[in-house]
Amino acid sequence: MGVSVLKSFAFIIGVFFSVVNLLACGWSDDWNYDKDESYDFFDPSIIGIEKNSPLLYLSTDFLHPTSYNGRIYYYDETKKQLNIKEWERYFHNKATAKEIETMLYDDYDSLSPIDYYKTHLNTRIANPQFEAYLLYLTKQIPYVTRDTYARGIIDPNGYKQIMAEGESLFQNTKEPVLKLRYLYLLMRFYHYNQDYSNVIKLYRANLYWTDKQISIVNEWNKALYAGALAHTGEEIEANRLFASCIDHKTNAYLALYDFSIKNDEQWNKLLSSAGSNDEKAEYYFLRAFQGHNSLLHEHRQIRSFAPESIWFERLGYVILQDLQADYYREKSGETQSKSYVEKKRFFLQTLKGLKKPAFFDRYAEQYLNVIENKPIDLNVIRMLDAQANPEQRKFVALLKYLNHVNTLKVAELEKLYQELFSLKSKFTVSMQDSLVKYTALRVAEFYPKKSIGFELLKTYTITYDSYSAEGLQTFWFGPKRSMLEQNILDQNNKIELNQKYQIIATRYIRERKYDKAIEYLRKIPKDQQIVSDYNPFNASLSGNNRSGTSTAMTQLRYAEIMKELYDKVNKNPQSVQEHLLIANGLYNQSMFGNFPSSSYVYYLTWNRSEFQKDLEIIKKEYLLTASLTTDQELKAKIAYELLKVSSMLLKLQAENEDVSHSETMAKMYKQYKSEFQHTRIGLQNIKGCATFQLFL
Amino acid sequence: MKKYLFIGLMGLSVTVGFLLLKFLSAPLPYTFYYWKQKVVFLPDQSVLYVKCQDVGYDGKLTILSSEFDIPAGTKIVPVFYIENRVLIETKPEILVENLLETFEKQRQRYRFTYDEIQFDCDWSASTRDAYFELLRNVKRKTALKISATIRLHQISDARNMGVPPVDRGVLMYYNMSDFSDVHTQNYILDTEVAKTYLKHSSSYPLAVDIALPLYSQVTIIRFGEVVGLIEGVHSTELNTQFDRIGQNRYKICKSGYFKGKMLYEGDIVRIDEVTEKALKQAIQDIKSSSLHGISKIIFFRYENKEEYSQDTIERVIQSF
Repeated sequence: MGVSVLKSFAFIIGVFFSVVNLLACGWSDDWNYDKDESYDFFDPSIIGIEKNSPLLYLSTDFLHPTSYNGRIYYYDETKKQLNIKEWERYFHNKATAKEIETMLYDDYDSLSPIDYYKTHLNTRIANPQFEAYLLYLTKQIPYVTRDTYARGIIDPNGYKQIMAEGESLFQNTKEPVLKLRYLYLLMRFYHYNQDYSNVIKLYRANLYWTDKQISIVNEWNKALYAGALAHTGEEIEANRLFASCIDHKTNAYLALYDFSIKNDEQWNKLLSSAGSNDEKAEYYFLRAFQGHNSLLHEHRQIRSFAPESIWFERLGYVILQDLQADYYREKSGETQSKSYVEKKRFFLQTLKGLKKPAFFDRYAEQYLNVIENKPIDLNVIRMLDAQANPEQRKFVALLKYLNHVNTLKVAELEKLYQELFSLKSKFTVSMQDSLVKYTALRVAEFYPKKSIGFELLKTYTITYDSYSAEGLQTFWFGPKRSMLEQNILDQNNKIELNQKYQIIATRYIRERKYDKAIEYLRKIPKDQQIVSDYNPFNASLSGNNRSGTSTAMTQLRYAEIMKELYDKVNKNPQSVQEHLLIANGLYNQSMFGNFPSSSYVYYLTWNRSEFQKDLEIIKKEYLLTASLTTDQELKAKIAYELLKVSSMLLKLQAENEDVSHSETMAKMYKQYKSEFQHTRIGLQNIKGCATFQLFL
Repeated sequence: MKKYLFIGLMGLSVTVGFLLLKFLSAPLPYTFYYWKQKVVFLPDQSVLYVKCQDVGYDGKLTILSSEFDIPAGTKIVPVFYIENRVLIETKPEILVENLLETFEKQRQRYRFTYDEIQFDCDWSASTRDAYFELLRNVKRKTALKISATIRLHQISDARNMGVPPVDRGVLMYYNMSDFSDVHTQNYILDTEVAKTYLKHSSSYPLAVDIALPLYSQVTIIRFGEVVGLIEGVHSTELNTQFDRIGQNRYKICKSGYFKGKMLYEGDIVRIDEVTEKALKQAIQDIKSSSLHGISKIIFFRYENKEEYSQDTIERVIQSF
């Protein structure tokens, strides 16, 4: 055997042991299930905001990218859809929404907007003014992007040209739809090129007629104007305008992100400019989202002068989400800070100071009780029932349901499932998932630990290799499951019938119940059988017993041969050849061998103690075989397999300690040498196996 | 003749000795990091270390290039900041290709010069291999002098963190405590905390330069958690809004804005200042450590230079 082969062998062994160590680290018999308690029980319809609006949605915190991206995506999409609708109206429905979308938004379409128009729409629409608009829009793009690399180097003369052309098109266009859009293009052009005074001038000069247009373009123009004011030191007016953006359909998020106060003077001036307490409350509301400002303090401020305003309620809604995120973060140990209790106390004190608590104020307190597994106050629930508007009633039902889950008794399980399935349909998909999860985690506690039902309900998945074949068989084909289990299975654990057979058979092979395995494997079509590329009855020098020559043996054929071999040794217990083949088969169906997929569903879910058990069984079989023969060559062959198995057992037993170079290991290899170096096979192994070179 | 020769040799020896003494006692050179997205400076110092690329991962590889407004031909040391996540999500060869291509465009556009590039990454044991592969790849492709920043924990736990395969390291002697821990004494420079790391630096094989902080900030603590910071604050600037409650801790007694940030009554603020005394102490500790090959001090950062007098900087340097 050449040096390179030795190196390869050492490498394979090395990699294998690294993998073993790596996998062993990730598993212990006392592995605890992670209790992922991130629930979404928030639906803005409780405070009168559109059901799917992400404006006040918090994913852990307001500044979290998920919250931010969710908002931007939602408004970008709304903007696109409303824009397409406006163009549809403009074209008097001569272009479909799909065509408009492809023309203006499809980056993957090989045609530019103008080329698409000429190719697909011109004959139907025949609007030279629109064509001119598209042409100008395309020309302007490089001048209105922050992506400096994408736009390339801009010709400074081009700037003047674009500006002049835009001004001319705007002035000469009489048709109001296009005129308004030219105004937007020009304002945007000036804005990107930091010519804010022209943005302001254009907006103010045209307000008299743009105000009369019903178009989403007005929302964009107003935002550009507000931005220009902010850049030119007119912060108060800019903030007033940004605040008003909160009612916009296409860019309401600007109110949250671009409203900006830098000092007390600006703040006081803004408050003085407010025409009502409600307007003032909105400013406090918006200030709460700036940087790391305090939602709780701003909420309390609003209480002092406008407790009945929508802004007090809306801020309370955001605070409740924030508190929930803190509660579960702290509970899971994800954060070292312990701010939940202090924040909650502050929030509840604010609510307690209300003379006339509104529905949401009462709801919030009870909601916190529920997530903390504290009983709800039934008097308050009665008040909530009385106060709730039709949209809010389902939230009272939600509180009652979660409270029921918290205080659940086994006898009430089926009743609870009925409640769950009638309640679910009233909420969004995300809330439905949370309802099922909340229920499942609680119900799991009624199942024996390590049972399939427990695992399924706790983690929504089943680690097949942790369960007996019979357990899985009963689980899939046994008595009817509870509605909840079935629901979770339907949602998360869809599995084909043949796959179930295969999993059960695999577990039977691991349990060495080959006849049962055969029964299930015979139900699976041949082309879906698992196949070994190597002869699983071969035992060779290499660690995994791959001889290098390929063979194809299905899992079924393997099980059949193993069954035949066991039948033979039952009849003739002294048969050396059959015992040797059984030992090799067991070796190869283990994680150590070349056909582990015959007895493990997933390689990654095996664990140290199971692997140890496998190795002990293999060792026993090899020892038995060795005791039946006097042939020294065969003994050398078997002893070498035993050496590999024993080395691995030593490593597994040592857990984190590296025993590769230990004295015990050296002793084992030296002993093999002294016992078998006189044999042909022994000598071949000693020379061919790199590990021997370490010790001898 | 011999007499003149002797006198001449004596004279030469004295001169060489004098020059050698002068060289040996010369203060260590120093420079700055420049860490803004838009680079505008006059090269009044020796070569500045300038953040050129901010490499992150947001579903895809994102490279944010700094913009420059500097005279063509200005010599800098470009610094590439690499977010740890990038190393998990991107293959080293793809990262190198993207990075060098973007950098080349940037260099062509702004025409700065350089003969060294630096990498800044808070690599971990799990990203170590990918990061080192990146460094080796860049070295192979550019043949430039490569340096890398090294955090204190990476030096004290070199066995797990590895030693980056670069020509020189720069030990970042700041931000050594836990920012989110409300009990932290001084997040920027706590020489006692630093010493605990330095203890384990004895066998660090790489020659390192030292980066020292030249900035201060206020850390805001609200409801028992750190919620933010205000940069560029010195204790002399704290007004009547702040009630002193500890060595470097204050309680906010009246809600209102301070340096553009809103502070609320009841907030606790900790001022993390970097004093001349602390910087000198840091230098003494570094000198007493077994770190070797220190050839310069790099202050973080140029933008805060004005907060410290030139004399202060000189005195700190001279204490080395």
